Amino acid sequence: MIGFLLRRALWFAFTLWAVATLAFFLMRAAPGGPFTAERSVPPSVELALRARYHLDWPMWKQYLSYIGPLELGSRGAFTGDGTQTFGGVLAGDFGPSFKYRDFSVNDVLAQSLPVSLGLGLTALFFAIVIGVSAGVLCALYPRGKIDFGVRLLATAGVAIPNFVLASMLILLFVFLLPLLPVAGWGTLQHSILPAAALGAPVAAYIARLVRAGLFDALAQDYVRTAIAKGMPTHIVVLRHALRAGILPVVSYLGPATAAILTGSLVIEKIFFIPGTGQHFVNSALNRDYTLAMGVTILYTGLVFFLNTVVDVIYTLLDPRIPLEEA
Amino acid sequence: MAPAAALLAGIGWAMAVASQSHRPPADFTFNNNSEVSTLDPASVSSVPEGRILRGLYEGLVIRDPKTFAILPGAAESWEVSDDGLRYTFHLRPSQVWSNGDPLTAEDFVSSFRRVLTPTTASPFADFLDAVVGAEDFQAGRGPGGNANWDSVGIRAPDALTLEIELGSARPYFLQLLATTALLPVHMKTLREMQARFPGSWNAEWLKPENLVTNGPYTLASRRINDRIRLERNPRYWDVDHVAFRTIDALAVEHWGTALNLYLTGGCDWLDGSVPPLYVGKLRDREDFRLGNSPYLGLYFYRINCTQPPFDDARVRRALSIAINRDVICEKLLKAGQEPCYTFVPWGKLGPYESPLAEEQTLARARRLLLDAGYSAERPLPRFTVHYNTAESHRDIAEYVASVWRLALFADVGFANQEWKVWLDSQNRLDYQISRSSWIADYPDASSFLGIFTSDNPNNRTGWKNASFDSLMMRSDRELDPQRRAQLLAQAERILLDEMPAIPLYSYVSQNLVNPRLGGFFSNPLGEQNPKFWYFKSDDELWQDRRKRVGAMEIVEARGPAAGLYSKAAESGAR
Repeated sequence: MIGFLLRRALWFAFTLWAVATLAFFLMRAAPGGPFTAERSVPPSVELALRARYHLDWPMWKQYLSYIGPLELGSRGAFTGDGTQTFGGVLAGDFGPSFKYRDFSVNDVLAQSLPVSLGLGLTALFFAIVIGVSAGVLCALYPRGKIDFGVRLLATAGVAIPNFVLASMLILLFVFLLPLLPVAGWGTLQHSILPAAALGAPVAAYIARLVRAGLFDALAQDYVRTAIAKGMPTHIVVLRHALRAGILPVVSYLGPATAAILTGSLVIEKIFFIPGTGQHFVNSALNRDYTLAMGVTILYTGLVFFLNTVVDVIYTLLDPRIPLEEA
Repeated sequence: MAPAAALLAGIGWAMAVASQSHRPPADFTFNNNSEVSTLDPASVSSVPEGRILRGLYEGLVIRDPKTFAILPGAAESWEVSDDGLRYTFHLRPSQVWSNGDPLTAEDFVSSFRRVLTPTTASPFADFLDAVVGAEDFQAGRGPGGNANWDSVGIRAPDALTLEIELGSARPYFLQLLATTALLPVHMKTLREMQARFPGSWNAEWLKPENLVTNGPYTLASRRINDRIRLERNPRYWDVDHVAFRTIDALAVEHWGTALNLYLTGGCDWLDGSVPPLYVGKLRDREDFRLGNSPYLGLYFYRINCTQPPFDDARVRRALSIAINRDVICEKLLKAGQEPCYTFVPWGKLGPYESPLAEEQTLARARRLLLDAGYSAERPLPRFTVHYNTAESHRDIAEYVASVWRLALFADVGFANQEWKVWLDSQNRLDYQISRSSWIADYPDASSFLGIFTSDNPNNRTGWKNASFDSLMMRSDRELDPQRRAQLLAQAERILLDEMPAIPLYSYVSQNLVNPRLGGFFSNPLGEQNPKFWYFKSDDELWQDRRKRVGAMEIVEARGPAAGLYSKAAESGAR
């Protein structure tokens, strides 16, 4: 287990480095820059701005100063006329944002990440509760009306994009039945519609996985034995079959988290939620080099970490699966 | 079970963090369209920042929200010498900053000095370039080879007097002083933050807990992509005339979301360009009708004048004449935009009137093209129309291209690019015809015509004309409004003869605004001063509705029925 985690940590570091490096050079290869605007600034002002953010340095120097806490010039990095050097990613300092000039990237992420995590976790919770219950219902009453209905809904849930679902939910629960706030963030009511819209496709997928997993498990010998012993069906399903049947769901949680994180940018826009998802897209469009880098590195780390957690949970649920192959 | 518990705990934690920042709704909430990029007056220009900055700070003079006439701000009076070169401002006595420090003329001197200092990198330093010595100071030139502030004509002979000396007269200098770029900042805080946070003072001095301002409101809180909360500044000299105790500025970018919020009472005012799809639904509502009026913005196509065949003015004019702007405004946009044939939108601005555009007939367009050597037999070489990715730009480009194809036998292609790529191509003159727009910096014709001077970074057409440049320079120094208008008209005549760009339509401001909001005027700069806003009482609302001509659909006027208005308004002083 410890060896596995160590190896994972090494890969983690390598992945982060590779992603950061690629993103760094890709961002700067895109046409236009952070100070390109419809009202052009005088050339002298643009020079001063570029100097302030060290965009006048050669690329390798910018890269090194971004990555690590290196002393690279007497003129302090990112400070205008101060002397302190910008910390660099290795020191946990993502630098100042180019677009939100009154904030550092660390500030921006600290403000928005709890919001996105709150939204994502609520959506995930919603998806798991609905998805697993629906899947279990199907397994309890196979090939009946409930099974058919759930499968229909699940297919629809996977097929309908979340922004369409969001619009339908708004129409239904805000304008037809005025129950919930239409947009914004801050209270539990605010999170219901966006979490449902974000979690629905995941719930649909989970329902299908659970159903298939349970059907599989119900055909196993140990389940047949349990039924033959005279154990009631619902106990067999919930206690014995579900443990094996839920395994595909656990391995799906990694990709599901990624889907929720990246899917949240549309939902955040529609429901006006100040999360990280919007920065993911907008920072690239704004050529906000530092913020784009920060969000990319953060998401890489997050997805990698969650996948590792899923792998560990996987072996805990089913000891037959060795960690190495997970 | 453990993962489920962890998940629930996570949700609980995130919700707790999220609700910490949740506050009860403000007295007044509006949508500011996007997140402001900074609250530093020296570095921002756009409309969203302007609304917040006007709430937080007050300059020497301010603009009347309805007429744009100059009103006293931090200065209660001023004198201008007859030659227009010397301005003397008298500050209100016993005026203070939000932290209690006295506001003095020296604050304005140091703020203006900051704008002119090269490391500030203010895009608006040129607003002050008429001031004696300012250009030298900015360029680091001086008597001894060094930048010398003493030779710049901005002085404070005493705490309440500010003198500004210009090298050459600027007829619109007071209007420049009323822009957000020249608002005063509290230099003491700025220096303190520089000492305390050498690495991040740029951000620290603008945080709600540190920012010191002199306007009707102070900054209470700020969350990116969410809202900025303003709170009435009890130390503001005119606080009795400020009605709302709190104002929230939302940063909703998605128009549909903003509309949803407006319709469910989440905000009381939103503006921005309404998608044509919605215009029909909103047209008859009183809250939409009242908010529509001319806006000082021009939608036009830049032409790259450095390449054949567009280096020939006749070709450029032919392209312009062939376009039927009525179709664009009535069939594509629908919200009251006005066809435009001149370089100053709406064809007039204050005392200025644009010269008449040439006759717009297809025969004339073909004639011009024939003169340039192109006809059905010898068509124009293939060219592309370049625009930034957006549905409305695509629709207009497709229409314009179809006209050029059918009427002028041109072979036209399209190139759409993402915003920054599009800007970059335009800057490098890597286009043939490119969609553009321009919004006035200040209400004066020179704000539009000036971008076509040879050395203006916003020219971006490669077009240069010496007599145009000299006319613009002379108009900048001409104090007599009549003669100045003539000079500007001559300059615009040259533009119309040369057509380095094709004007298409003039903008309208499109507001959806709670009928109860008073002190709000839909104006050609989209400029609002939060100081003047208040809620009308039922009585006043009824009076206003009665005065109105024409039938409109009455909508709910949210807000306290007894109004929420300034003390002065209550005593009938308004």
